[in-house]
Amino acid sequence: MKYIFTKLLMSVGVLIVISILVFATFQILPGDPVNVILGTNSTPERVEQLTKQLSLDKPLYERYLLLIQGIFRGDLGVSIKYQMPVSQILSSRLPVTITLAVMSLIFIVSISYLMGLIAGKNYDNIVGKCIVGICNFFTAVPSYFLCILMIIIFSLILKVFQTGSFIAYSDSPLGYFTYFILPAFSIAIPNSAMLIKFLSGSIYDQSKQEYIRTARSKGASEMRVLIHHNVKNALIPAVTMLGMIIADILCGSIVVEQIFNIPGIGRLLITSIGARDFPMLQILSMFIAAVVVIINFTVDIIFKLIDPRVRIE
Amino acid sequence: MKRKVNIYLLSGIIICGFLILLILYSSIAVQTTMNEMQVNNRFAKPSMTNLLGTDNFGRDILVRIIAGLWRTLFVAVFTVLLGAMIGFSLGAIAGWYGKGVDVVIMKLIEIITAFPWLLLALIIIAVIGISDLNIIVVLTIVFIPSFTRISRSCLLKHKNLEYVSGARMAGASTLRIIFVHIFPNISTELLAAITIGFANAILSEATLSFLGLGIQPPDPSLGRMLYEAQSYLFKAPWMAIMPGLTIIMLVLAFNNISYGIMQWLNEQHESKEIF
Repeated sequence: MKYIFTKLLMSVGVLIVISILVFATFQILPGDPVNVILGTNSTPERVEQLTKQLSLDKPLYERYLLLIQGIFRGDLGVSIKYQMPVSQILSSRLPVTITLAVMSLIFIVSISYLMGLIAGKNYDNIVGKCIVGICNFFTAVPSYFLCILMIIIFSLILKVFQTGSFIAYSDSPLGYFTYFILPAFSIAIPNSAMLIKFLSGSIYDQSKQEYIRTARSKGASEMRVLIHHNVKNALIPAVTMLGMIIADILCGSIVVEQIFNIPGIGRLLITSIGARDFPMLQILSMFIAAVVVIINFTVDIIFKLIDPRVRIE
Repeated sequence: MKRKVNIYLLSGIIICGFLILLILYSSIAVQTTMNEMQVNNRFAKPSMTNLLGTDNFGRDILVRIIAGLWRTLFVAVFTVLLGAMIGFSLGAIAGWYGKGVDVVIMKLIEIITAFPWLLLALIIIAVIGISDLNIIVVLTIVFIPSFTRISRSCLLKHKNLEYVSGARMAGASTLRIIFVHIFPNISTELLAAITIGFANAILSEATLSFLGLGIQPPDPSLGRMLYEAQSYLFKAPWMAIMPGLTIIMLVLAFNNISYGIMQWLNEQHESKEIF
């Protein structure tokens, strides 16, 4: 309980510092947001009115507090580019990115569990060495090149996939999910490669431990030793990598959404940078960083639950 | 004892050698420059005159790849040098002084890493703008945390060893102990970190350029070439495949060299334990 409380306190601290940092970063930007919004048709009255509306006449700390209050009330400000509440845009874009991220995660977990098991069991022989070698290769392949290769293979040669024509969930749920298969796969492969290497090494290390010999001498079957004893212990260090992998999925989705024309958070981020839409960028950065912090916190808790030996250093 | 061949190191060096051959070939045999357009030779398939084909402006892809390669390497070298210098020093300070200094530095690092690297890079680019110099600044900030962590953990391992207390008793200053006594002893670990950082820097630069936030056209960069190739994927797939393969080879070379160094490090470690 004390462990969870300390971790919670630390995470909240990190969240506060992140929000201050992001806020401060977007304050030192060159260019007055009022001029950006009004453009050429600005009159002194409208400038004054908008300054009041955006509370730019208030001191910095007050504006920061207003922003945080707004976040808790669900009022995230207004996007300059879309002239719409940020919360409204987010709520339409978020499900898309979540679908992509969850599908990638499912691919990553299933591929790396299966391949990690095979590679870990055959770590010394040619099968294991081949798998690790292939993984070494794929850690060097950027996800966007994988996307391009997949487009060439699946839509140019096999003609089974139509790129650029994103299908909304409301139009066809099946089409919506199938559209995500290739993007999710290209995010999953480099990450799985990394995880398989780690997992197989971990399984191999654990298989040398004495408790495995004990289990074998008690007459447990080879399968039971592997699944029940060996993998269970080998998975523990792999769980800590989950936070890193989620962060990597988010990075991957920024790039992949761009290629596959998927209207998610990543695409929004890139268009917002192009349009210098700072209210949007501010919220998006805080949001993504917060997601990573919260996931890391959750991983720490899961880690503690599955392995009670863990203590705070 | 039979000497085991370090496959990783060997393969890394072979790939590097292949890339050097490619560079030599393009500088000797190809006469065109990177931005020279041949209007009647657009989308030429790979052939003897244009070894890797030409792009939508009739520019030779091989020449552009080599030019992009240099640019990527330039960015990566400066990124890693700056990042390693700042990161290793920060880590050394955190590891050596411990306590409050350590907590402050490591919390700062933790906050930087709470941002996925691409998001961090995008935020900084939004603030300081796009230019060749700015990519180096952005990537340096992105790479500082990993270097800091490695040098800190190495320093923690070494600071209580006998040779360090010996040096301290001989009256060596803190700076001298860290840089003259400890750093040479952890140089292999640091070298492994630098080579893997180098591979990551290449990947990151290519990603930023791919998103149009790195090196600006018309100058070639590997990532940018991939981006431009997307519009002609069906007409000229080689426009995408060639730069992509180059990125893979480049990253693979430095990854493998790094694994090789780590493997060598482990073998050294094991042989020490036996004797």
